[in-house]
Amino acid sequence: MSKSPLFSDLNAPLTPSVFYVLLSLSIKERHGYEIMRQVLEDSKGKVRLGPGTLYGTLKRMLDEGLVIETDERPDPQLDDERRRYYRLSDRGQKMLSAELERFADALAVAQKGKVKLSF
Amino acid sequence: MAHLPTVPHADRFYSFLLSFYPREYQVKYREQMMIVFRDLYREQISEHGTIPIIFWIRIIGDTMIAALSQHLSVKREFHFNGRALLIFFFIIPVIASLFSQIFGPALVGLLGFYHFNESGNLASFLSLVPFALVTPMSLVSLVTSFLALQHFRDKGSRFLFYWLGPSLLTGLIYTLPQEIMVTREYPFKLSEEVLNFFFFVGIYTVIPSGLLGTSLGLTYVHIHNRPSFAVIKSSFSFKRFFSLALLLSLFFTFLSGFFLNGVHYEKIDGGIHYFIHRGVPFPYNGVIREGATPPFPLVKLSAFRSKNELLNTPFYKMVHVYAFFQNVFFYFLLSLFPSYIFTTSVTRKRSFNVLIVSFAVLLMIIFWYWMNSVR
Repeated sequence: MSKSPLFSDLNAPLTPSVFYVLLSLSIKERHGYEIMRQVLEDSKGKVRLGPGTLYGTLKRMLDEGLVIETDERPDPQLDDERRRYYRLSDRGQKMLSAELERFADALAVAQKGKVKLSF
Repeated sequence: MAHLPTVPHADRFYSFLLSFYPREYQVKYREQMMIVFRDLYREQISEHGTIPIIFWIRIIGDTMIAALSQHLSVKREFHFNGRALLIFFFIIPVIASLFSQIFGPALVGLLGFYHFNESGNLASFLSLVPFALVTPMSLVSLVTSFLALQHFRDKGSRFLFYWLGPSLLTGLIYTLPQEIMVTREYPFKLSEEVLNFFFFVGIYTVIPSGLLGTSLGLTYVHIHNRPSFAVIKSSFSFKRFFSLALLLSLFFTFLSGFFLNGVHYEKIDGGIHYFIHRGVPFPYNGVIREGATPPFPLVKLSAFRSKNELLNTPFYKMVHVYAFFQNVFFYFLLSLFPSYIFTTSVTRKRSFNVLIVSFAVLLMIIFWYWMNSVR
């Protein structure tokens, strides 16, 4: 498993694509296309992953143990049985939580300092 | 739905795009990516009733960037990075060729329409189609790119070889046919031709190899010398450096695109008029004799009594603009992508602003050129 400096530190900020993929998988396990749709929806259209970017990101996350490919497959009658499903690992969950905490801290600082928020 | 129905043509094209990924990556993810692509394709059909151009632009852009990124990350060794850049270097002429394959026929279509209106002669128009479809530059680019890719794929790497070899090869390949077409013989008969030859080899060689070499060298430092890299980084503004590199790239792009299409001259030697225009990938260069049939069947000889008359023909203007687009596009990609890819690999930030600003500058250049050359 190659060690990338990106994910070696739990407190390191995540890239938008990694963050949104983690977020999408925190709700339930999903396959590639579902992840793309969820990321687009969660980011309100700001993060659009193409197949190349998506699987590049998933590969890095799999290598770093942030996500796991699940063995369970849905009913073949309901879906293409060749699809691979991914879910969050404990490490991925921790990274996501750390990132969300960072956002919450930053928001608290902004609110405390009465920074004008436009959302 | 146990198996999703396929969309053959789109499938085949996307499958071709996937072949740019590293082999190991393809083994793992090819099938999954095909499935996702089909889902996206169907989504577009159901949303728009057709496939918008932007869909293909996104898919091609996504594939090119992701494939290169995978080549760079498969093994963080110079060997693989060199190979990835080599592959990318050869992809650029292919893209330029595809570009000319699109605009070549479009140009012929326009010329054909113009000529047909004038003379009603469809035959001479049809005779041009093969020239446009297989322009020398396109053919040479495609063939050499694929042959070189095939040949070098499994070979070892050496820095200078990767840097200078392909650049020199490309420079020679682009320059030699032009020289042979212009002089009609080889070796050269005039010292001026020799000078021109080296000038164009230089343009096609020095700039690309310089940019590619710089990118390769910096990538090498980045990968193998990470601690030193950090030290350099602490005392050096990379953002400023790459902004400068990008600006320089655009400057060279502009300069080369402009001069390659601006170099034309007239020689009168024993009653023979030479109208030579570099960078035009049509069988347009050559000797035009008084009373003889010009090499291009659409254009009447009477239009070429002087250089000014030649310059003012709609045909010349269209070819001129076409060649300008092609060259600018070629150099734009050649200079932009190494800077862009290296910038993103260093900063870990996929800043599409770089791309957007570059395109805006390119459009400004084209607009300026258009305003000044076509009246």
